[in-house]
Formats: sequence, structure tokens, C-alpha cells
Amino acid sequence: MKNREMQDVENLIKSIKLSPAPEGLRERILDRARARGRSNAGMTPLLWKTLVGCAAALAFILIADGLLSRTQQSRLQALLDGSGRTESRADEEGPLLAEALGDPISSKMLAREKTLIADRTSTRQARLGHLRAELLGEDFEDNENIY
Amino acid sequence: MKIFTKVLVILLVVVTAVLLVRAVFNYAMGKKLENYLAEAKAEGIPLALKDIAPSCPDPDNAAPLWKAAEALFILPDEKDRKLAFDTVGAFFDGKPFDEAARQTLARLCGKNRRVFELIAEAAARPCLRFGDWTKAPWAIEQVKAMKTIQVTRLLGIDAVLQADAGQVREGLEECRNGMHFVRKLMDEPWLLNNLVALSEMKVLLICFDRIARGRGIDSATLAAWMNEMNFDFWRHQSVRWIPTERLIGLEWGLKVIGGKPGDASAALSLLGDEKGIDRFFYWLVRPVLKSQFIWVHKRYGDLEKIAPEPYYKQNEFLNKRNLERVPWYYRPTGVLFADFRGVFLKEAALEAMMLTTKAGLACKIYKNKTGRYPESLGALVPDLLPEVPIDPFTGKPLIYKIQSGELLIYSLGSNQKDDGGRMTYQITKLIMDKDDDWTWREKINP
Repeated sequence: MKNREMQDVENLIKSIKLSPAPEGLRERILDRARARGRSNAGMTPLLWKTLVGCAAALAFILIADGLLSRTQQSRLQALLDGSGRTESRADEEGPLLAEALGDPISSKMLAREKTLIADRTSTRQARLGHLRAELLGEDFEDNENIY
Repeated sequence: MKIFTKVLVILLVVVTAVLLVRAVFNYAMGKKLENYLAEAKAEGIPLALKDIAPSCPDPDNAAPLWKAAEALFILPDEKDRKLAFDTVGAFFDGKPFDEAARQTLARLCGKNRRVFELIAEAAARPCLRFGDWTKAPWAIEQVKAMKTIQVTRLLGIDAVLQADAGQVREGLEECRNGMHFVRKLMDEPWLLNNLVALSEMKVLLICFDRIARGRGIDSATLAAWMNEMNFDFWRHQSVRWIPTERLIGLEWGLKVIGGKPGDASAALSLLGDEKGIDRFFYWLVRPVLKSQFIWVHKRYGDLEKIAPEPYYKQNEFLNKRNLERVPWYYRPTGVLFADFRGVFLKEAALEAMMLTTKAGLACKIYKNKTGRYPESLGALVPDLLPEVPIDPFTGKPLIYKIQSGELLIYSLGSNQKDDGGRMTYQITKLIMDKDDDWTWREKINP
């Protein structure tokens, strides 16, 4: 009984005719596999396009902003009759004055004045210490805090 | 990896969008600033510091004399330094000299006699222009304020020492020279000069009080000194620092928003360290800065309007308009705006000192004439005073009292409380809680 059934199955299989693979199936399968590979990859074409687009836009924005700012700056400077001059004066008095004139209410104003006359390019603190010792003496600032 | 890449690209899109918005805003704000300045210029508002430069021909200029005085000024020897400076501090805090300190200071004053003579010569010149005002604000040389403070205080002490030694007229004259010189500092309308002048005028007023109080001085001299107590001059000169600050702000602002390497470093250093991150930050917020400079410029315009008013009106206006409030979107830039309330307050304190001194002198003249002090300040009007002096802090008449053998004329000061005429020169905060009156005090029978 069992042999009979096996024989039937074999016959059935033999009766099935092999048909040729449909046209383009191989390509379709390969294309789909490639597409799936691409979609799993780090950079998709869309991302590449976005990246290139953004880089170009950034470059354009920065260049245009720089150029426009420069011309605008010249016009603004012309309105002030200024000439874009550079800072040259060094003055070490600021912090000492904050103490001399005094009270806490001056600090903001003096900060502004201080920074205007400040020379930040050199060893400011060292020079200040020297100035304090030479001109004022270490005790002077404690005694002049009158106003 | 895929998500990471996507995030990076999205970030790039966001950055691009932000920078696009920034660029548009930057251009628009620049245009707005340009239009604003063009309009201001058309209205004749000065936009360059040289437009408000003090005019002072060389023969009239007191600056060369002051420069010579600066160079000649001698500080005490090492061994006397502490004693001298301790004594100066104590003197301006109302304490008497002890004999050792008096001798040390007298020696120091003697060494600086030529300096005081130069100050007298400078005081007699019509004007003072120390720096070259054709330069940029930060390149204009300014009076060395520390030296000014040291010289003025020593000069004031010298005047007191002279008066104590019996040379009252000479002492008063020296004090007057000092005051005239200090006033000249304000010819150059820097805020710093203004602060130094206010401070040193108060110092010299203390010295004058020490000389005049309790001393019999003839009425003509007292009347001449009453004329010295003219605050209108100070108010007129003081308001000149506001346009200067406004114009410095503009020039400085343009430097910052210009952002040129090298040139910008000086300007950027005003706002923060010269690190790359600071430069990037101020490049990024440049549109906000442009908008902020318009705002600051307008605020200074408001200040110019109220500057000539007495302090109680200024205070009212400041509280009503909330001028000190900086909008949140301007705060991160760190742009500084002068503490004008503090300056107004210092001016008011000087005005109070001058008014009480003037009223005190009028009372002395009244006593010279009648043999007694007046019952009230009203008795001095109109012969000695045009009107009863008004306290700049309250808008009400100065307080006048005769109590415990003393004559007291005082202003209520910044706290606007009656502290019984008690005062201190050790100002430690904007509005003092106590002992905040500005007082002329004189013993009735010295």
C-alpha cells in the first residue's frame, strides 16, 4: 500500500512539465535585491541629493551674507563718517578707578569705560600689579573709597 | 548607521534653514539700522564723535598745564605712604588729623607746591581739551583719572591745612582753584570725566565745609562763595556725557557688527574674550546686535530728554517708562548700557551738597547782618536766596532745624527718609538704608 502511494507521487511529479522561467524574472529579482540593498545602505540617493543641496545652499548663504554685510557695513560706516580705525591706546586705570570712584553703582558704567580703554592684548594683570605697587602703594586703594 | 546618517542630514537641513533665516534677518536689520541712521543724520543728530568735540584753541587750553602737573606730582615716600593715605581716607570720613599725620601731609603738600600752582594756572584758562578728538573714541587720550583724584584730594587737604594754620583766605582760594579745575574736566564730555569731576567736587566741598564751618568769614567772601554753588553749570555740563556715550556706542557697535578680523578683535574684546567661540557667537547674533544698537540709541535719546530735570523727576520718569528694562532677546549679547540712574543719583547728591552749602552760607551772612540765624529758610528769600532751595531727591524744601545748639540744613538723600541730618561719605550701595542725608551743620555758638 505504501509502495503504491509512493509510486503515484513519483508518477505525478514526472507528469509535471518544466516550463521556462518568465522573461526578465532574473533581472527583476536582482533589481529588487539591489534596491533592498540600497535602502539598507547609510546614504540613499535622496539623502545624497539633500546633502549636496544643503551644502550648496550653505555656501551660497554664507558668501551672499558676507558680501551683503560688507557693502552694508561700508554704507553704515560712511553714515558715521568713520574709517574703521583700530584700537591703539592702552590704559591701565580702569580697575583702579572702579575702586577710587567707588561704590558698587559705578561698576557697570566703569566696566564700559574700562573696556573702551583696555588693552587686552598684553599681560594686563601683571602690568596692573606693577602700576598699583609703583604709583599707589598697596594701601592706597583701601583709603580712597570715598564715593 | 542609517539613523545616524539621517540625523546628520536633518541637522544639516536645520542649520541651513537657520542660517538662511539669519542671513535674511541680518540684511533686513542692517537695512533698518542704515535707514535709522540716515534719518538721524538728516535730522541733524550728531553721529560722529568729532561732531561734538570740545572746541578749545591752544592758547586757552588748560591741558598742557595739567600734563605738567601730572608729571610733577610726587607721592609720599615708602615709609610715609601708609600714614598719608590712611589719614586722607580718615579725613574724608570726618575724622580729625593727628599731629604726626598733619606733619606728614604738610611735608607732602610742600613737595607738591608747584603742582598746586599749575592747577591754579590751569583753572584760570578758559577751557580744557586733553585728547585728539579726530581719532576714534578708544584712541583719544583721556586725563589720567587716578592722578586727578590723588592731586585733587591732596590739594583739598592742603587748603584745609593752610586755613588751620591761620591762612583762611589762601586756603579758600586754593579750594576755589581746585573746584574750577575740576569743573574744567567736564569740558571733555566723557562719562568717566563726569564721574571723576562729581566725585572730586564733593571732596573739595568737604574741604570747603571744614574751612568755612564755624569760622567767622566776612559777608562779601561768603556771598562770592554762594555764587560758586551754582548747580546749573553742572547740570548743563553733565548732560553732555550722554551724546558721547551714544556716539561711542555707535562707533563701537559698528566695529562689532563689522566683524573684520583684526579690527574686530578690539571691539569683540569689549563683549567677551577673543576666543573663536565668542567671535562665532557675535557673528551669529549680528542681526540682533543691529536691532539692539537702534534700541540703545533711542534709549540715550530718552535720557537726553530727562537729563536736565531734577532727580525726583528723573526718578519718576525712569520708574514710569521702565527705561532700565532690557528685553530678554537682547540680554544674551552682553551689550552694556551705562548705569544712568547711578549717574543721576551722584549728580543729585552733589546738587544736594551744593544747595545745603549755599543755604548754610546764606545763613552765615544773615547772622553777620542780624546777629542770629534765621527762623526758617524762607527768611533768606529774596535778599539772600531767590527761593527756598528744593531738595533734588524729594522735590520739597530742604529741611531746616536749629536743635541741640546746632544749625542743620539737609536734604533727605537717596532713601528719601529723614535720618535726622546724619550722613556718611562711605556710600556702599545705590540707595543707603540709613545716614543718607546731605547736611550743612554748624554750631550756633562755636
